[in-house]
Amino acid sequence: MFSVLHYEYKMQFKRLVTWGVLLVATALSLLDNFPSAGNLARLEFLNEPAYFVYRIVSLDSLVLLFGLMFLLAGRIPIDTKTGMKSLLMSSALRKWQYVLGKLLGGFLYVFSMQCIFLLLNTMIYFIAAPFEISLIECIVPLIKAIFVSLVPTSLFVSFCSIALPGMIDIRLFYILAAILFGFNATYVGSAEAMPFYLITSGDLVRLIWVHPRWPFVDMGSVIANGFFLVGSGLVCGSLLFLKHKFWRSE
Amino acid sequence: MNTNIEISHITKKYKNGVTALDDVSFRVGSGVFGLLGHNGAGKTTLMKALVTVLTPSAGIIRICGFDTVKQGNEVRARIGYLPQELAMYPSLSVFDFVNYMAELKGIHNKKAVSNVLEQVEMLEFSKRKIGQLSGGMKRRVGIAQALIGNPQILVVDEPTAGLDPEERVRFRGLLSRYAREGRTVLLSTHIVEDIHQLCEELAVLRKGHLFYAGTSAALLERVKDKVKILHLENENQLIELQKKSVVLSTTYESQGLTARIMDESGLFLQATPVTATLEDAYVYCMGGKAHA
Repeated sequence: MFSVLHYEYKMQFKRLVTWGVLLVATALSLLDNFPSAGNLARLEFLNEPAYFVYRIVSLDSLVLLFGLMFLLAGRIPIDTKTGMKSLLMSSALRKWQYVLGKLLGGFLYVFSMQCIFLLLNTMIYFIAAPFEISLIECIVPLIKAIFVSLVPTSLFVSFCSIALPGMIDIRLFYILAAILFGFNATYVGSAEAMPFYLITSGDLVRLIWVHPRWPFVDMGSVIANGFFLVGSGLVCGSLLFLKHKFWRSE
Repeated sequence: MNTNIEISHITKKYKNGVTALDDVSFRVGSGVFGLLGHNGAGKTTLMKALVTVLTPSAGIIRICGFDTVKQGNEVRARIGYLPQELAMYPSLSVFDFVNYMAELKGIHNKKAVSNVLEQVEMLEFSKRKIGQLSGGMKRRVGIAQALIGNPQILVVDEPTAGLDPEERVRFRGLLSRYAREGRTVLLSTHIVEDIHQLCEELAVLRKGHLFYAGTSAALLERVKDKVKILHLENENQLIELQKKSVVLSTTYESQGLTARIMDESGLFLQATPVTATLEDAYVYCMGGKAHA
């Protein structure tokens, strides 16, 4: 299982397009959030590191996740297409080792890319900010972001993107994912009510920063949002284990 | 003969009603054994059943005495497999790919990986990405991953298809070297020349049925002194000839054409006898003709 995980991770990291997606997402995010005079005038709270981290995680990371979802979607179909699945099945590798290796390799890949994305943006913000910021002001929201957003969203994106195309036509998966991400990108809700099925801008991210005028966090909505992300990911991943014909009979 | 592979009454029926293999039985000892048949004859299905990827609908396959269905782990520990058209992972380096496959076989030894790459003359390209290799090089990497761990049985599916003549010769050399020391190489192909060069024994599959199993010499014996060539003026004569005899092949020339025929009852006195080849025997087995 660890061999599959290790090489899945390595293969994804070695893809040039991975870094292309990161570059585009970072460029778009800096256009939106760089602490320039224009952006500081446009965004009332941009001088607060917690707000900066909240904004990166809730809005701009959606572009990165959408790109990574497309990159991960072919991880199982490619094995069938290239003859690798027959080869892997003729080895001692068992179904659970293959599936878990693929899923966890994908999860670590998405999580790592999100961490790099967030740290890169925050570092630039920290260096370029024309006002005083202490390091601790940046570190605290970063740690919160890792636990309340990066872990659940990485799990949701990686598990769904790897497992579903192993069971349904990949084109259907692309359509479904485009609809979900499209809705997430265009959703304009109030700060009071955020649907639980939002990927990056649900109530979970309000644990990083809350708007001073609406400082209340509904824990029920936070749990629902977390449950949706983690639960959907785990359910999608489990479907592969349950699909009888996916592997040789053991 | 020590039997390394024993195939007994294997049948494979798919859910869509297609019978890919129908009551196939034969035994394979050490050395290179050829599995010959047209595309769609059932060779790949049989290979997949041998390496435990597919479960047969009926029958038993034993590899080194172990049942492929009930003792899959024992079987998998003893086989190396090169599937047909293995594209591998283009972003991995040659070394990483073979090392990955080695780890899946429980071999955590980089020296063993280097050794096997040296065996297939790919050590100097070990850092190159698989996506940057030629077809022949990819096939050599494919065989390297199959050889790792020195398996008792090597199962290779159409390994020389699409390779240039130099690569094919190199590949044949590799397989015949490996088959020494009591090991078995099961070579599936539709290229008769590969079988002729490598195998003393072969099996011929036709539409899922076993058509022949035995030595290539015995197969040749079936057509000995029966193969002749006959010069024809035009296509009409060829059509007439096909009604009376099995035409093995035809070659078009500037004036007319030459047909290679199977004259079983000595009817064609004007035809010239020629030495029969394994290809003649194979085409005769398939009951068809091959035009050149």
